[in-house]
Amino acid sequence: MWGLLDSLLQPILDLATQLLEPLLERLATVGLSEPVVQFMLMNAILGVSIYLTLNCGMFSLANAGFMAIGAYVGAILTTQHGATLGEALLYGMLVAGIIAIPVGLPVLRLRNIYLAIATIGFGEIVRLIILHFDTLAVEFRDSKIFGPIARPILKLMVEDVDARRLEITLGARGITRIPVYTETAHLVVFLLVLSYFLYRLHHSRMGRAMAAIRQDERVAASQGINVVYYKNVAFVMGAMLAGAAGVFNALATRTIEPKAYGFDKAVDILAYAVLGGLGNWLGPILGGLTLTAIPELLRELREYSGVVTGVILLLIIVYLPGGLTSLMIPSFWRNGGRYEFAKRVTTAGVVLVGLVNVLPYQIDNGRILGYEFWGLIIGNMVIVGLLLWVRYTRQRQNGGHFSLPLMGVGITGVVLFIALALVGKIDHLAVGYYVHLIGMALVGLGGWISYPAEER
Amino acid sequence: MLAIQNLEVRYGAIIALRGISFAVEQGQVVTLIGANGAGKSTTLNTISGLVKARMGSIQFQGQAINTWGADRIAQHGLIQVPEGRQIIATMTVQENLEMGAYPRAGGWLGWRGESSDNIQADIEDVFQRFPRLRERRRQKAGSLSGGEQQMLALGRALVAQPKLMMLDEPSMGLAPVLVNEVFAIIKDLKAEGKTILLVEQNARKALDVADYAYVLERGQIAKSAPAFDLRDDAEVIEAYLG
Amino acid sequence: MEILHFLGLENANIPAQLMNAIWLGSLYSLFALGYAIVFSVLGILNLSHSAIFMWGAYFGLAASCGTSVYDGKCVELNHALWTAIPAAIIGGGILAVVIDRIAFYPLRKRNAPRLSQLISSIGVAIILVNLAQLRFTAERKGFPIADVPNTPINVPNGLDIEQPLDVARLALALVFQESGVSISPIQILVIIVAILLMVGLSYVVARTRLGKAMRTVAFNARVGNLLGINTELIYMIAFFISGALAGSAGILFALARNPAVDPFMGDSLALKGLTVIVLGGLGSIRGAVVGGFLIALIEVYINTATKYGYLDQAFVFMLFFFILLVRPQGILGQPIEDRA
Repeated sequence: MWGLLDSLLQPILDLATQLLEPLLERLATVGLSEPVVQFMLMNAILGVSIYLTLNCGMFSLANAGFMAIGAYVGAILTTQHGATLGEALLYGMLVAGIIAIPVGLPVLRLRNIYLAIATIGFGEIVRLIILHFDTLAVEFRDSKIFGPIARPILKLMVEDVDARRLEITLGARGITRIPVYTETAHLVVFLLVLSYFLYRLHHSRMGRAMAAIRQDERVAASQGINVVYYKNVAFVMGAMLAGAAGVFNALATRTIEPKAYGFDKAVDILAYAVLGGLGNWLGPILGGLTLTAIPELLRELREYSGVVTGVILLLIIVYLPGGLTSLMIPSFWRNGGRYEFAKRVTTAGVVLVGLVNVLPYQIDNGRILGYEFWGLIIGNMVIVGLLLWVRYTRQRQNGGHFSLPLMGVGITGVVLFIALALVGKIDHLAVGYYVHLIGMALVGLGGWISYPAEER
Repeated sequence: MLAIQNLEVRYGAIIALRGISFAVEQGQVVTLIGANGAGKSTTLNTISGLVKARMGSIQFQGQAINTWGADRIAQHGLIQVPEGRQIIATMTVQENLEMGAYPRAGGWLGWRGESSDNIQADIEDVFQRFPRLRERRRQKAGSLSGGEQQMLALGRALVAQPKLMMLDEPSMGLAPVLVNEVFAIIKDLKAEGKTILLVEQNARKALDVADYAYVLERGQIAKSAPAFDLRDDAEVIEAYLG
Repeated sequence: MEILHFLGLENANIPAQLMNAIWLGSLYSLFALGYAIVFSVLGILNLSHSAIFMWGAYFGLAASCGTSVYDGKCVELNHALWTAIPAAIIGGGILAVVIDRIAFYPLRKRNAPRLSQLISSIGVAIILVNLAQLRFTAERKGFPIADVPNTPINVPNGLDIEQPLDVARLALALVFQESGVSISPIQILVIIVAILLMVGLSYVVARTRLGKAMRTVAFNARVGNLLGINTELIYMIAFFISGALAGSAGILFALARNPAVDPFMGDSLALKGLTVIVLGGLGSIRGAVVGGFLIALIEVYINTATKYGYLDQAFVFMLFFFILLVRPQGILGQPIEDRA
């Protein structure tokens, strides 16, 4: 059976590998090497895994936990039993899915914030259990009550069950020397199959039921939709996908450690979905690809990848709640009109200037115009405060068509900075300097965009 | 005292008010009647500042208040008694009444506020008016009956020393006996010379107490006349009093 | 003695461990109070609370050590040690207000779903932790050891009755002398500051006009608005108090566990604080205090009486998980409707 499937899949994978080769070469030239591309694809799968639950109106942050389960199952199977990628994938997804059932049944009765924090708790418990698994395994093996149950299970994971110390997950050190089986072609094929599945799901009865549940659970229930069933199905499917991503991840990196699957990973997964947008299934895939690529493309930002994730999460949720995919919908651009557009431009400018000022080292080796620490902080606060003030007063008072104060501040900022560079006050024209200039220019531009009075 | 000009309100694409104009004079009881969804509550909420108008002006004692926040409007003596009473269930009756006088007491810091003796005297007046509240002053407001809650809501508004009171469906969800009681209270307030803007579904009762009435239909004023005349208007009788 | 044996405490120094639980509990309560106050007034779970906690510690460190914190270790104090505490309190408060304006205000104005606010607070938390890492490096920093009065008090020798601190030492020593309790002056400070802040806060919430306004807004912001309450101002104050509590918890933790200041010092507390307020009932002020002491007690018990000390975190989270499933309103909270 397994051999048959293998012989069917192999030609497809070979073809995919051939087709991908030139594309990968091209991507490598802009800084996206093959391992990076693999990560992008894995994160796209993870984005879909959280999308499945969000699409059903459930805010679950448990996916990092399921990813960890998949990763450890995959790693143990390949290192202890010499499993292939296909087997590891199958069992990884199965184990994650099976664990998801008893977790989901009680947890999914919770809603909103309660569900979110319960799943955060679940993720932490998984991480801590994996971290202490070896010690726990010995405890259980030696216990009179649990021993008979634990032994056969442990036998699956380690050869010598009776050893004094068991080495299964290896605590904080993690499992090392995992064979590298994951190829880019595997991920691409998996993602394509997944996309087809999602496309079909959307147009199926189940997809419509899930959308109804997201809209309003009570209404959905009153229309005869089995809410509990569909929620659990979505949760289990999400867990299985996260498990699959975990297996791919383990078999691509050689080493896995519990630290990598903690709360931070859960937040990253959430960020993929939020960035891409939850309007349709393309969003999380796009989000996973983009957010992984951004720090690699902007090499200067690599150090700041954490900040970038945070800022993107914040900006998207505040200013673009529909995510990147909402930009592709024409009505998005028609809504709001020119006033909203002017406001967005100004905001982008203020955010850029603010960011540069929070990280002043980037402008001129830690000094702006020779000011030290406290002067710097106060100076920055004044600049950003002034911009915010102008922006908000304009919003409130200026019923008019374009904002003179904003233009004034923007143009003054641009002129001042260019002048400072010309006079030689700034020794080192770092990236921050240019970002600052662009930010100021955007502020000025926001003031310059005119809009009819009644648009307010 | 209150003058509304050409007020237009939208919720997204839905137009709730299509340019209505009306006025309330000092000492008058004016009522807005109309069917569900005609825009009665929206009108009150726009005057209170909870909803922002897209166009039009609201003048209160000669000042344009349409750009003000709801808190500032309340501080200037335009007090709304919201639909469904909305008393603070987690606080005692006494505390609820004290919260009514929040702006008078000078906000959270108490700067330039009136003395608490003054306020307590007004609270005593409310107890005079509604003796049942005095018995329950230490009880949580959530434990009161519907009628008592309505009295508490009215009392809370009175403690604020309103220049203009806006009552949103004060009889909603009350037993007929209590409805009569509420309207008796409104009549009393009118006799004391209070200015009241009353929104009611119970058009017959509203027209009984009011001096002047406006009929709202689909966000527009369909009719306006002294309340006495509308009581005999054939169309109104058919549509609202029937 | 039977019961002690059953609990596995026959060898434990109970007064000492109890003292341990009390000071740890004060810290947890202080931290969780900030969580709870924002949740009760705005219904927001501010997951950046732990980042404010961490920045509070840095504010304190910078205030008494000066700019040397920036690049390296704090070698000597530029200002008195006590300046760290007000700096942390005020800095934390202002930081929380800024967070509100940036991450929550726009969403509130748009009437966005509660979950968006959870997400944006996660974004803020990531930004703050990473900024701290960029600014101060990931290295663990602390106050110069000699300047922090951290030596445990055991027996009263050479006490000066004129000194207030020594009077406290004497009292403690008399009470705990027999049992061999050791507690440092900083731990006493933690307990005193925590109790002062908790009592002060419950007085403010229960008795003052500000507290009543906060309760009104917590009950229904629209009604508060109609009563003439400037709701935005109340939100700002609530955030300031919340941030001040987080900042004070941060600096007290930094002093008591000196050296303890690093960008990740808030991470473990983030979820523990969540456990505390869930245990006490989300949004309940009293619940946060009770929950804080309970969690500390459980932790200390697991660490001293069982051999599963390494699992104390896991036990806390299991408890958290269990409570959410069985009684999501917590032990002191009111029933909630967020459950199907």
